[in-house]
Amino acid sequence: MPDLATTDSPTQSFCTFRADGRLYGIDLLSLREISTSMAITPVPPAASAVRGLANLRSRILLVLDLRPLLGLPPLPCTEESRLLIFKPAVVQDAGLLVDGGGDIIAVPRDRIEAIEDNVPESKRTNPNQPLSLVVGVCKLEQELMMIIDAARLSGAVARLLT
Amino acid sequence: MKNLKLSVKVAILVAVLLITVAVVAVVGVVQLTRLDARFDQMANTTSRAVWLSGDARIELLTVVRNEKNAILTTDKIKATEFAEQARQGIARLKEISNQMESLVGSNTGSPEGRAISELGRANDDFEKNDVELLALAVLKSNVQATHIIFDELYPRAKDLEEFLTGLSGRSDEKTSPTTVEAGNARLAAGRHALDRFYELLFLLTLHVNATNEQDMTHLEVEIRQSTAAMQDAMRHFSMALSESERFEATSLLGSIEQVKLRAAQVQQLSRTNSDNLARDMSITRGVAVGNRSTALFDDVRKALKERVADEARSVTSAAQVGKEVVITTGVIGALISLALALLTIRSITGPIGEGVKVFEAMAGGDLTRRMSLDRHDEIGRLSAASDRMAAALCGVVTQIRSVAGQLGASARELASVSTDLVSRSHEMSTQAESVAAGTEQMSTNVSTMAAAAEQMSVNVSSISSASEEVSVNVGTIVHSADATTRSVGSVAESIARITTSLRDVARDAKHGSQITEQAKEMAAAATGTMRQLVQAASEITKVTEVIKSIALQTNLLALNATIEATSAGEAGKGFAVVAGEVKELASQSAQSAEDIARKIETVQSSTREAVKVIENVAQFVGQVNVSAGRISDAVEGQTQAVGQIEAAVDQARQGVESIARSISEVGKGATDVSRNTSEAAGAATDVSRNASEAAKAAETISSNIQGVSEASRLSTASAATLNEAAKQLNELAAQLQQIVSRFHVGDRQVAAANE
Repeated sequence: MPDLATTDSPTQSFCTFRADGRLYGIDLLSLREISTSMAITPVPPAASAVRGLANLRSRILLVLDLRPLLGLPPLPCTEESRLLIFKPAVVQDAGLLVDGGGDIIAVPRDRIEAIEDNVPESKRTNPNQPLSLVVGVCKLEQELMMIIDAARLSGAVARLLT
Repeated sequence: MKNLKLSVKVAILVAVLLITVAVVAVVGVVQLTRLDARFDQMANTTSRAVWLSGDARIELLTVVRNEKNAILTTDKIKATEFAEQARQGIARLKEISNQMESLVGSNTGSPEGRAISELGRANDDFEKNDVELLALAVLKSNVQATHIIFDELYPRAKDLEEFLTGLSGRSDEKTSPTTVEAGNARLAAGRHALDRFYELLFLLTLHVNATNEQDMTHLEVEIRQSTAAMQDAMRHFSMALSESERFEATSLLGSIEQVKLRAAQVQQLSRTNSDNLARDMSITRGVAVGNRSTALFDDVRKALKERVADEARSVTSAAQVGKEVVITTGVIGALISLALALLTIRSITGPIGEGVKVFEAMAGGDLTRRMSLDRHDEIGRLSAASDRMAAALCGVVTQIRSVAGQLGASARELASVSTDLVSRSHEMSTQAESVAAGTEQMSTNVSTMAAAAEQMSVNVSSISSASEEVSVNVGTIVHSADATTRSVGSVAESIARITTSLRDVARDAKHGSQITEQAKEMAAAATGTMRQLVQAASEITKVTEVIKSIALQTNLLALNATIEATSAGEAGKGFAVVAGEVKELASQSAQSAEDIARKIETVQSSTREAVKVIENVAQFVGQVNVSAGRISDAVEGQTQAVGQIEAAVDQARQGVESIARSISEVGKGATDVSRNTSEAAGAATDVSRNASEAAKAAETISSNIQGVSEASRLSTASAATLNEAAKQLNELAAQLQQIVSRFHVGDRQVAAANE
C-alpha cells in the first residue's frame, strides 16, 4: 500500500461503508465526493460488476457495483445506498456503488496492517483472476475494517472494459 | 463575503496562503540573487583587486630592488641582468595595473577608480624614470673609467717602472763615468716622467671619484697641466735615451703617448658619471616616484578596503532587507490568512451556533425561534430550510393545538353530559327504589289487607256458624273493619305516591333519551375531531420526512466538505472540524425529526385509542337509550297496573265501606244479622277475592318495579362507564394539549388558531 507509507501524518482518514454487513474502508484521499445513488442507466452486455452509467452534473460516470467485485450477489439500490466518486487521478470518471454507510473516520496508522495476496500475479493459472481488492485491515474497537485499494479497483475497471 | 460559498471561501484562503508562499519565495530568490551578485563582486572584483594591489606593490618593490642592485653592482653583465629583471617587473606591474583598472572598471567617479588611474599614471612616470635610470645604470661609465685607469694606464706605468729598473741595472754594469753620468740623467728623467704619470693617474682617479662639477672642473685643469708636464717629462726622457734604448722603449713610449687620449676618454667617462646620476635619480626622483607610488598603493588599498567594507555593508543590508521583506511578507500573509480563516470560521460557526441554539430551542419545544440569516451560501440555505421547517411545524402544532382544544371542549361537554346522565339515572334509580319500597309497603299492606279479609272471612264464617257470638264479635268486626279501612287508605296513599314516582321515572326516562341523543352527537363530533387530528399527524409525518431528507443532504454535504478539507491537507484541518460540526448538526436534526415522528406516533395511537373509546361511548349511549326505552315501556305497564290496583283498591274500599255499613246495620238490627251475615260473607269473599287480586297486582308491580330497578341499575352502570370514558377522553385531550403545549408557537399563531 504505497499511500500508507508516503504521507507522514499519524492518522489516516477512511470513508467507511458496508457490504453484506461487513465494514470496508477506502482511503479518503482517493475520493472526490460522496453522493446518494442516482438514476443509473444499465449497460446490457456489460459484466455484472458494471452497474451502468450515471449522470453526475453533466459528467458521465461508470458506476461499479462493489458486491459483484467482492463476489456477492447484486442487490437493488435503496435509500441507504451511496455512490463513492473517485478523484480523476485515481480512477478516471468512475464511481463505486456501496450498500450503505458513507461515514468518515481517522485511524492511527499503527492500527493498520497490510495483507499480502497469497498467489502472486505471475503464478496465477487464470490470468483473468483478479487480485484481491482488500489490501489491508484496520483494527477498530468494535470490529475489523477491510481496506480496499482504489488503484486495484482501477485495474479491475481496466479488466472489465477490455 | 458572507454570500460566498464555503468552498469559495476555502479556495480564497488557500489562494492567499499560496500567494504568500509565492511572494516569500520570489522575494527570497531575488534577495539571494542580489546577495550572490554582491558576493561575486566582492570575491571576483574587489578582493581580487586588493590582492592584485598587493601583488603590484610587491612587484614595484622587486623592481626597485632590482634597480638598486643594477646600480650597486660593479659587474656590467649582472647590472644588465638586474636591469632586464627590473624591466620585466615593470611590464608585469603595468599588466597588473591594467588588470586592476579593468577589474575596477573605468568608473572614474568612484574613489578606488580614481586612485587606480592615478596609480597607473604614477607607474607610467616610474617606468619612464626607470627606463632612463636603467640605461644609466647599465652604462657603468665610472667603472669603465676606473677600468681604463687600472687595467690600461696603470700597467703602462708599471711597464715604464720596469723599464726604468732595467735601465738602472744596465747602468750599474757599465761603469764608465760618462755613461754613468748620462745614465743617471736618463734615470732621473725617467723617474720624473714616471712620477708625472702616477700623478696623472691619481688625478684621473680623483676625477672619477669626484661627485660635483666644481671639483671636476678644477681637476680637469690640473689633469691638463699634469698631462702637459708628463709629455714634457717623457720627451726629456726620450731624448736622454740612447739609440738602442730608445728603440727598446719605442712601443712603451708610443703607448704612453696614447695615455693622453685615454685620459681624455677617462675624463669624458668620469664626466658622464652614470652611476652617480643613476643613484641620484634613484635617490631623488626614483624615491619620490616610488614614494608616490607607495602612497598611491596605500590609497588604492584604502579605497579598495573601503569598497570591500562598503560591499560587505551592502551585502549585510541586502541580507537584512531580504530578511525583513521575507519576514514582513510572511507575517502579513499569515495575518491575512489568519484573518480570513477566522472570518470564514466565524461566518460558519456563528450561524451554526445560532442554528444549534434554534434547533435546541425547537427540541425544547420553542418553535418561535428562527435563524433568519440573510445569506446565500449553504448555511443560508440550511437556515432558510430550517426556518421553513420551523414555520411548517409551527403551523401544524397550532392546528393540533386548536384541534386538541376543540377535542378538550368536546370531551368536557361529554363529561358534563355524562355526569348529568349519571346523576339523572341515579335519581331514577332512587325513584325506582322508592317505588320498589312503596310497592313493598303496598304489597305488605295488601297482604295485611288480605290477611284481614281472611280474618274477616273467618270472622264472618264464625258469625254464620255462631250467631250468638255475633253481638260479642261485632265490636271486633267493627275494629277490624276500621283497621281494614285504614289499611286500604294507606294503600291508596302508597299508590298515589307510586303514580307520582312513575311519572317522575317516565319524565326522567324521556330526559335520559334526550341526553343519550346529545351524547351520540357529541361522540360523532369527537370522532370527526379525531379524524382531523389523524390528518394533522400525517402532515407532521410528511414534514419530518422533509426534515430527514434535509438532514441527509446536509450530512452528505458535510462528508464532501470533509473530503475537500482532507484533500487540502494541513490547511484544511480547521475546516474539517467545521465540517464535522455540520455533520453533527445534521445528525441532530435527523434525531429531532425522529423524536417528532415518535411523538406524532404516540399522538396517533392516542387518537386511535380515543376514537375507539368514543365508539365504545356511542355504543354505551345506544345501550342507555335502549334501557331508557325499556324503562319507559315498563313504566307504561306499571302505570296500567297501578290503575288496575287503584281500581281494585277502590272496589276494596267500597266493599269495606259496605261491610262497615252492614256492620252498622248489624248494630242496628240483630234480626238482619243472618241475612246480613250471609251478605257479609259474600262481601267478605269478594273482599278476599279483591284483596288477593290486589296482592297479585301488587306482585306484578313489584316484579315490574324490580325490572325498572334493574334497568335503572344497568343505566347507572352504563352512565358510569360513559362517565369513565368521558373522563378518559378528557384525560387524553389534556395529554394531547400537554404534548402540544410543549411547543411554543408564539401568540400570533395561537390567536389565529383560536379564531
